[in-house]
Amino acid sequence: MDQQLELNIPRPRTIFSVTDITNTLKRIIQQNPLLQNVWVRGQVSNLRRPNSGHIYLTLKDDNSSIRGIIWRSNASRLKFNLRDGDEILVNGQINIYTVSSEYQINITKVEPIGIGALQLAFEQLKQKLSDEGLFDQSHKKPLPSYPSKIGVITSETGAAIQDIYKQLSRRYPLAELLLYPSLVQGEQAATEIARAISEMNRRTDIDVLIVGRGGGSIEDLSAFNEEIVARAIFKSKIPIVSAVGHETDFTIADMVADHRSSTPSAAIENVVPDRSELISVLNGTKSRLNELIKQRIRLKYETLEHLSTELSPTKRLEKIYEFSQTIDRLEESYQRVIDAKMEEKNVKLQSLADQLDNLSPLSTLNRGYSICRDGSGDVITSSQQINPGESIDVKLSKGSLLCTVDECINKT
Amino acid sequence: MTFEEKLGKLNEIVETLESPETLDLDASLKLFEEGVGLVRSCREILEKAELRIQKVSQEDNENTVTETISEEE
Repeated sequence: MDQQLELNIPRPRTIFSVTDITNTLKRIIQQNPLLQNVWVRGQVSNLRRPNSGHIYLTLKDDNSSIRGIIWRSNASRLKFNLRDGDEILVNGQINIYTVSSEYQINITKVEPIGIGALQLAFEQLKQKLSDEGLFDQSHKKPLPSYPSKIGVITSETGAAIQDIYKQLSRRYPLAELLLYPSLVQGEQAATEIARAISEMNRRTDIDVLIVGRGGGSIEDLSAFNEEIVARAIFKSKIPIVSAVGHETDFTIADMVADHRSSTPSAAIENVVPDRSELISVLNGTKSRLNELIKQRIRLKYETLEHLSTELSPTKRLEKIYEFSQTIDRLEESYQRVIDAKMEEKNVKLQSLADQLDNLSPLSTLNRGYSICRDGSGDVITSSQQINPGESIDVKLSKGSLLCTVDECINKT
Repeated sequence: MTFEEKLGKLNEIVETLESPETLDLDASLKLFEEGVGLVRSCREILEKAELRIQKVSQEDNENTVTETISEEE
């Protein structure tokens, strides 16, 4: 009985606070290694990004949902944009939010389902920059034809700089090479590349910039798919050639760059002319110069020859004959004119002479008339001019008579 | 004159000599001689050039001082 009684005496109750319960559960969860590193698959909903920079979301499937949080430090490392409805795989720890005793998952890694995380980030960034016009052809700067200083941003120890050096020595060693060493792989690479680009732009002696590295996987090349690099390339005043060693895929850097080369040594081929080609062009120019000057000399010689024939003695005599012939001809025609004029005058003279002849007193005398003149030589036309006994001179056609007047017969 | 300027001048000379405008022989000869001189000098530059490579020194990037580094093959 006693024992029975004793057994019936209730033990003193242990009373827990709400916090105790929560903390106990929290401890249990935290001590379970499985729950501290879980991968959970679900669909994003109720996504929020407050100013704190943390990302809050709910991960759900057909039957359940769980709250999730991505702390700011992890959120800023996300390569792509999370959106409601995205199917994702997250990695993190299950924890309890003490205030509301709700369990949630602290997400440290997010992977999109279906398409790789990097690939998705790439596609989203590409779309964004394309919308902003960073790839537009109108922004592409022309490359210089004969650059005298070429800036290179790549790893100091990588294959790229070796290839560039070899190719440039062979092709166009006139150009100077200025290397800006930079990481091209890993977390810091993008920042360093972007900084190198802006540093190079503070100089004034760089004609063209090659930014690149040797080939690698998409992860190795990820720095060239980062927004910060894309923006630095776009901002650069120096023309930029991207030279990321891969034949098939284009990086974001390739799309923003003024020119894309598939490898670093191809970049040199695109950036500088070939020395031996230039030499053969110069040789061609020299032959052309020779040809042109010969042609000019020949032309002058021909002119000279022409002039000297013009001035030769035979030529001169010929000219003189030619002139004298002209003079003769002129003279002849002149004479002809004079003769004609003379003839005309003669005819006229003859007719005048005939007229004169008709009027002449001599012809009247010929016809038997005579002219009487008194002693003083005046012509006597009236008998009253004279007195008997006076001497008169009678002019006949041939000779004259000296007569004495016997009688004057007056007649009216 | 830089190499590029020399090439530009050379092209100019060839163009002038090619143009049918009459140029007196003296001037043509002077241009020809200048052109031949430019060809020689450009060829010399190309044949004698040796690549110079410099590196931006990271330690002192405030002034982006460059140092010449020699490359041994």
